[in-house]
Amino acid sequence: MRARIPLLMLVLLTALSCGRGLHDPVFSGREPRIFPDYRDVTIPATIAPLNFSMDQAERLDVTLTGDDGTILHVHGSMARFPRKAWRKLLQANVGGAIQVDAYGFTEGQWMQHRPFHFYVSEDAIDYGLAYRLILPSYEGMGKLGIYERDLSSYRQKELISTEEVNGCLNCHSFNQCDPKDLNLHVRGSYGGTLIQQQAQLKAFDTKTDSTISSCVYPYWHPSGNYIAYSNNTTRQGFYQRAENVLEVFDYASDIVVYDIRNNRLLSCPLLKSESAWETFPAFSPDGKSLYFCSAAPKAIPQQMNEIRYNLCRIAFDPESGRFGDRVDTLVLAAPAGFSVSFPRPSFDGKYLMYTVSSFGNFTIWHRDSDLCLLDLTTGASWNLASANSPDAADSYHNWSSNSRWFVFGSRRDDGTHTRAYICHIDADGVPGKPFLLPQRKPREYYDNMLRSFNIPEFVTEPVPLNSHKAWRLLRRGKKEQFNYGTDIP
Amino acid sequence: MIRSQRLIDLSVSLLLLVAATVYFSVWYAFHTVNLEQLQLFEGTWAYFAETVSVPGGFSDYLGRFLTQFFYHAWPGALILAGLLVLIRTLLRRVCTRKDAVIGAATFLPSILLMMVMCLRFPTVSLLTAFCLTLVAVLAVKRIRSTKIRRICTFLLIPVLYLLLGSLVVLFAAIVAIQEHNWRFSVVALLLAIACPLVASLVFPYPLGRLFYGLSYYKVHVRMPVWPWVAAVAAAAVVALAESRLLAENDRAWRAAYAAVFILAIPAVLLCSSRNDEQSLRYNSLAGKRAWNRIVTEATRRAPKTYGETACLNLALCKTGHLGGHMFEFQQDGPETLLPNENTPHHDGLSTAEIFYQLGMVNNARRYCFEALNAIPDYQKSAPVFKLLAEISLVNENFEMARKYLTTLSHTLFYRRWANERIALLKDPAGPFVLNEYTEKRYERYKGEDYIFDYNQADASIKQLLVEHPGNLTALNYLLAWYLLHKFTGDFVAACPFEAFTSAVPKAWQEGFVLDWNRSGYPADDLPEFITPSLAARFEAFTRDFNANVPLAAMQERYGDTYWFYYFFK
Repeated sequence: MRARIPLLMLVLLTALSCGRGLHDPVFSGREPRIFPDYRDVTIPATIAPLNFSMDQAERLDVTLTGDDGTILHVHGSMARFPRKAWRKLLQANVGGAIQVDAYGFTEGQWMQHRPFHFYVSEDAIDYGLAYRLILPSYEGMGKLGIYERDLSSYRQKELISTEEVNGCLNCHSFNQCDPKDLNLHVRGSYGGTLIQQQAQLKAFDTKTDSTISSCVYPYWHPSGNYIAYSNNTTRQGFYQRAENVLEVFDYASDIVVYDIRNNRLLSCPLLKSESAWETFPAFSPDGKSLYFCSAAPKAIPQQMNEIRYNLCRIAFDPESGRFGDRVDTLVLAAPAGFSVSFPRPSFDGKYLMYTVSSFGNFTIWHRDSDLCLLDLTTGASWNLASANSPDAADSYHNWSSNSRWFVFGSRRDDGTHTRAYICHIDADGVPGKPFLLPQRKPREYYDNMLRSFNIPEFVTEPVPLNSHKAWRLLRRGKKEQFNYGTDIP
Repeated sequence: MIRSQRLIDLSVSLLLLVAATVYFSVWYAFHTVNLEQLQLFEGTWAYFAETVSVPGGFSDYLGRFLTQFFYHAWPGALILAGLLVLIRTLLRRVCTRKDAVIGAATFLPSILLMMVMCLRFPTVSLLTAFCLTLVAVLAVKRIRSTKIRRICTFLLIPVLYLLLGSLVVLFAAIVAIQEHNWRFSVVALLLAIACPLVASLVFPYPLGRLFYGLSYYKVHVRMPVWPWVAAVAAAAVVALAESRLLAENDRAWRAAYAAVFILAIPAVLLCSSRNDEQSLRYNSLAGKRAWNRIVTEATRRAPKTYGETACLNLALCKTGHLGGHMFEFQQDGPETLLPNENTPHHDGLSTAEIFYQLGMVNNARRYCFEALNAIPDYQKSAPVFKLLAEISLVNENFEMARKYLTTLSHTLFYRRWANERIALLKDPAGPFVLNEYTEKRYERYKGEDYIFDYNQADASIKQLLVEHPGNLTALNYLLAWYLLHKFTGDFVAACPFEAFTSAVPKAWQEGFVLDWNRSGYPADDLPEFITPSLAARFEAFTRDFNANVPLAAMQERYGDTYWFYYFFK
């Protein structure tokens, strides 16, 4: 009798698994509705498995078939791919495609859907992302922190957060994805700007008598010798209708460049003009130009909807720290009825990506904001339609170190929370379809994650930030003061 | 232990259980309920994994699990009292000596912990950590072999640190005291103290918090010293039980019991705040939309702060008594009607509720997030999520509504409410079935969008009325806003006196009469909707006012009128 028990159990299990297994599917004639929408996305070969669930399907049966014939089959309540087999499949199909045959079991019936593909790019992607997780709140901050995510796995590491630092953390910035050069602002009673270079962390007070505010929106010079900032007098207001939430606007803004070696803020009248609000500085990859946005001042809040920023450029001499004597307008947005924000040149020098919206500059709260690309050689500019969503904010973006991927924030998921999307872009500036940052259980993760992915940036290696040291520096008040002056020693 | 001592022991434990239960369920009920409102316990694996992933996470998880029952004050109070008695009982069992002096002394940590629970932001996790620490001590004590017991102690210290947090120091201290071996004691204590140091290399928390205990108090700055005073007291009691001090002293045990309980009452009262309790009562009742209970509460204990008065005004409005009774309570300007982020003592959730009831759902959402941000240990809040779900349903953002509702569906007390709405979301027409949201959808803004300006809130409320004239909450708030701003002209222009089918509310009449008088019209020509008695009272008020009657007398005679507010506030 005892010998028969395992046999009986085996029979029972087999019967059960047969009942739950794929059988008699009906062809739906359409592609499956999956979350996240990974249909026909272009992905790097080192990305973590793109697990997904299917709307209203109790069970899934998914087969991945690579161009090389490698097969990976999973079956369960969601498509959850084993990491090693996934990695092997992707490596074997670099430059090719993987066909995804997905069956969903809904209301007692297996449905076969039209297959879709994962396109595995030959372009490598960086080690990971660094981003801020923040409640989509308005005044207080709640728990917020800067986190690092390894793109080849689901591992997320907290770099620094309000659990440790008593103040708002913002504007983390790295030098062309290299986290060894790091800039981070902390606001609040112990506030200051943290700058780390060659593993040396220093805290600074960036407000000077000659600037209208502390330094924000940092962008590293490729040499690592300068950081461009803007000084903004910023306020926010709250809309009355449900479609819009709030508006963040400047009453004034200027641009300065911090000379790290000489502890000196540099600027020029063209960047501190009374007749224009200059913001969002970004150095060109050769370090010889500074891109920024500029708008004619308007009365706030009466003419708020008429504030439109153009995309401009001024020459910069890294040797002397001097600026050019004229400003070029690259995208004349104001007369065309739109506004430019967040210029981000690709590190290969070919393109510049920016966000457009109907007015203003804080585009993450604008449902109409879209990503656009400017070809720096021809001056042609176009909307990245395949990356943008029709009715949700697509905003803050950054390039990977090889300029073949970009990451951006989008509210297409639920209209409230910003999520990090990664998109491939080829040498001709043609983007693929973006994909949502993968998670082990994406539906559960994103339903529970009621914080926004803010300012996602690629990093080439883990961020070497010692949060205890950072907080000690700030608490002890050992902050160096930024000096303002245009005289170069 | 002799029988009479056992009886005393049991009686005093029972006394503590009853006293603490009554205290936390009657006099301090909303402090207890508030603990539940500052968290959202989800019965999911992900929530468990997230909670236990930090030092002290397991005791925190147990604490949060128990806190969810604080949804009602009685079970919450019973759980708190039960844990306090359990701690005392466990400590009694840990102690080697069993005489009455030790019996009395073992109440001391529980009373100190009861003091902690009376503070503004305590956690039940502290009590669960205390209990489990003492259970661990008892478990180790049961091991007879000294060598194995000591090895187990060393092995348990890091494990207990991960499970229970810094109270592992108490575990090490008690075991060390009872081992009577200074070498072992030093090593055990050093090992316990080293745990937070090692943890600081792994977990991104300041060393101070890792030493204090991550979940022993909700606020992370200026944490109270009492939890550690209780731990030291527990260790001291164990040390006393190891000595022969005060043993078999007939007078000593009586004195010990007397001292512990005589000190207990003022100590607990010292840590309690009746003012906080009253604010929490108003906020909690407003969150539960218990309008009649708020009005009843106000007649028993008048509101004192801006936030409390704002809750009362909303309750008066929702029960149709704002115009009739608002000046019977102290009003301190428009912020007692519509608080903003700078209003002292305002609560995010009740402010959100006010805006929600007005139909200003975007402002309601804003204050919901403010309420979330105000939770000191960054947890989610079930009542806030409930209101956010409702706001999302009104705004037809069904994807967000589904997310909030799904989270609530993982809870014990909000599950049913959430599941009913989730079921509706599955049908495209479902979300439009519930009248409460359909009504709010009509009441919210539909016209041209603009930025809200608190100083011109009347313009926003007026816009609501233009788009939906049937919004009585908005109408009452507009009229009250004008009166509290002392804009009587605007008040008279906005008030539809002729539309009232019954008597015009008292405050509205008072506002009209005052404006009539200040405009120089004769009192004899007052319209019919002004009752003769009110007109006569105004005449008397004018006479007394002109005669410079002292303020106290004016307050006594006219403190319930708008006129008194107008001239003296």
